Amino acid sequence: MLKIVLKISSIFLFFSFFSCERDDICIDPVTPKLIVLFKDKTDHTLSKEVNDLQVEIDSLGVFVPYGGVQTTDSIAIPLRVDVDETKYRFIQNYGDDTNELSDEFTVNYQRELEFVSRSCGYKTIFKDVSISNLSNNWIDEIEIKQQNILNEKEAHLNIYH
Amino acid sequence: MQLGFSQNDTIKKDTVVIKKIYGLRVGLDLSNPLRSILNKDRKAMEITADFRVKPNLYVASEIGYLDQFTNEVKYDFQTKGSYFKLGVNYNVYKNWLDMDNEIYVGMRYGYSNFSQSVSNIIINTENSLPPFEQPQTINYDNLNAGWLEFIIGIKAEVYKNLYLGFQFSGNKLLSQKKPENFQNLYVPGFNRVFLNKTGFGFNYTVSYRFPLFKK
Repeated sequence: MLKIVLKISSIFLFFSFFSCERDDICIDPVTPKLIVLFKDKTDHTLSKEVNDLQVEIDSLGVFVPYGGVQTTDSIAIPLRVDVDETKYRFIQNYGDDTNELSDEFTVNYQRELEFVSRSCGYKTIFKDVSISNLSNNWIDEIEIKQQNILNEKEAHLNIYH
Repeated sequence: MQLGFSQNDTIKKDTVVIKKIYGLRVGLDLSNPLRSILNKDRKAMEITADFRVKPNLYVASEIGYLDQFTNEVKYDFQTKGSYFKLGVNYNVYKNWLDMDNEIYVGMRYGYSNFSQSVSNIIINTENSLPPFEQPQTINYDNLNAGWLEFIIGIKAEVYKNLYLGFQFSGNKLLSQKKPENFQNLYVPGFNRVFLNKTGFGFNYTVSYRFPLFKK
């Protein structure tokens, strides 16, 4: 009987000190990025790549490049979680002196803090999304596809150019 | 002449009956002060009590307090509160003569009233932006939790009526009042709440039995 009890108690001891659970590693989605699709301005159903796109995000009054230059028909970019708006500068044909074109616009929203899990901590979700101050150098129109940015499952903005 | 003994003699039964001491045993947990030396962010204490109701059955209780600051990667939280546990221990150890040691299994119902306070929140953006720390502290008061404990433990009488013991528990959360937009990641008396609402407990006690009567 003593042996059995000691065995059981040592199993208890083992699990209490060496238990490692799923919640030690963050695998849940955290703050969603803004997902943008680039579409043809003449036929809104068609995807259209942007040549050598450089995205810059306003950080305290200075536009800071985000990611690298790429030719793509979709991007995922962060929204600022410290203020209710993010200013972007989208440059196409980046580095090409004759064809480089730059557009700026602002995404406005209401921020909400949401607890995810022990290891992931908190994320921000964005509600009542709107667009303002769009310059029209190469971008024709921006369409909001999702009023609230809660996850990265679907595109939030369509940019027609 | 006949040698040996008659097989017809009746064998007398051993009539020595060992009476057990009944009394209130009160103890202090030593694991909490030890942990406080190692972890300055944790202050806790626990007092234990039990009373023998049958030769091998005890009504047992623990009462305690916890104030712990937990540092997670992207936030910190402070858990403060008291707890109460009530249940039984059943001794499965057969003592020699008048020894009174125990190896026991037991069950408890535990209940805690507590508060959580979350601070230093850095919003998780997967490092796509410079880290931003939320300036405010979020307080959650009047939280509670109820749980069941399955216990295994040992108590050794090291001096007349003076006991040293340790006890492990496997815990399962039954009910809780959850904070809005947070979780009860730690509950006083229950300890860390794992994903499947389980937990583990441990104590190391020195206790004294105030003898009341023998039976």
